[in-house]
Amino acid sequence: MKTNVIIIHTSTIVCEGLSFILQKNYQCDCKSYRTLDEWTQPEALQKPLILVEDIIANSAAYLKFMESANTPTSISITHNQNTTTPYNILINASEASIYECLDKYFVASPEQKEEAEGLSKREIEVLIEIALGYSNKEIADKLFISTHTVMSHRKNITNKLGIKSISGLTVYAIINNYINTDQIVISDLI
Amino acid sequence: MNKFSRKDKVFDLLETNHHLLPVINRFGLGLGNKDKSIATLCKEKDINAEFLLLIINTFNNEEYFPEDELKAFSPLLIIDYLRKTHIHYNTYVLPKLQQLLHQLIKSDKTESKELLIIEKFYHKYKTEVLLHLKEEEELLFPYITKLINGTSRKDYSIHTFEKEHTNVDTKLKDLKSLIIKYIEPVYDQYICTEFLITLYDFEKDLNDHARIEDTILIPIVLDIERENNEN
Repeated sequence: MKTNVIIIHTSTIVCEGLSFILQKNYQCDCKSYRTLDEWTQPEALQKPLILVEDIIANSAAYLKFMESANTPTSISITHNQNTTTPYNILINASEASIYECLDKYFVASPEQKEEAEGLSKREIEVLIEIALGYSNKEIADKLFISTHTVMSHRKNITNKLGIKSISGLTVYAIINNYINTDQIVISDLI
Repeated sequence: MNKFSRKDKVFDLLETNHHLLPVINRFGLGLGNKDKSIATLCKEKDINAEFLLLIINTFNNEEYFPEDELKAFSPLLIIDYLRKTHIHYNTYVLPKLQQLLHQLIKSDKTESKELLIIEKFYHKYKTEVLLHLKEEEELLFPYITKLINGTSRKDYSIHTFEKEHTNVDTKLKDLKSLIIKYIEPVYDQYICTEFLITLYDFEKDLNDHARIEDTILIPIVLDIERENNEN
């Protein structure tokens, strides 16, 4: 169950930065837009979480949208140091305080958490190396971790996915686009 | 769970567990035998009734596995049953899986790459299974036969074979996980259902097959080798 997140901010740097931080820590689909017009608001997106630049948030067009829409959760990205409501993120907020603000929108019930629980970022890194055919030792060296840690990750990956063989894990990596299939020959890997 | 006995009829057998059909076919028991009991049929067709009953009872009930009774039979009888099982896999099950997978891919109108990758994975799995069966047919079974007949090489033992024996059940489980959990269902669901059911039945049969090999056949052979070495 991935949360849909919409970022509306004139700065590309803010959009990309926020998108990266969110996807690093939460199960979510992020889309960013420079202006409200760019976002055509497809109906398929049900109750997305919206992170919006404060100027845009205060615009008439946006206020109108909020009234008509199904009251999605909207959080302002602001320069204003004085605002500390749960619906604001400071532009120069630390990563920790960003998470503090957003945690409540993503923390799920234990059941949802189990359903949403995919691989962690580290596990995906290990998965990619497994799929590319590297040994445990080679993966350990590449990622600067111990062989023991690599084996732990492999065990967790197998338990989470229900896939054990290298070929099987490779298939999983390919269909989830963890491997760029333009650069490799699939027949070699599987 | 009730055990089948010599007095039972084929119809009652199948009513209790229709998955026994391929198993009784391997013995050449056949259908169209009206109400003849297993005892009568085995006598008519020169089949070892005790062995047949043991095999169908162990297949029907996973918890029932009387090792000592099974080990009392000649390995040649066991090999004969296993050989017939291989024929079933080679001529029916594997081609059926292949065909269903092919149909599944054709039913996908989006022509997604996912199913094509699954096909490549299945191909790898199939190659492993065929190799496993080939090793048994060309190496293991002839060796055991020679051993029984007293014409085997002195320097060859079953351990030589065991080291290289491939493990086939991992990829089958992976295939199930991939199809059930991760592939987008852009295909015909009925074809996929049939594919999965065939796969599940194959898995159960393979496990049964492996159990007989590992727990009965190999230990018998080890005993014979030990006896030979002592003499």
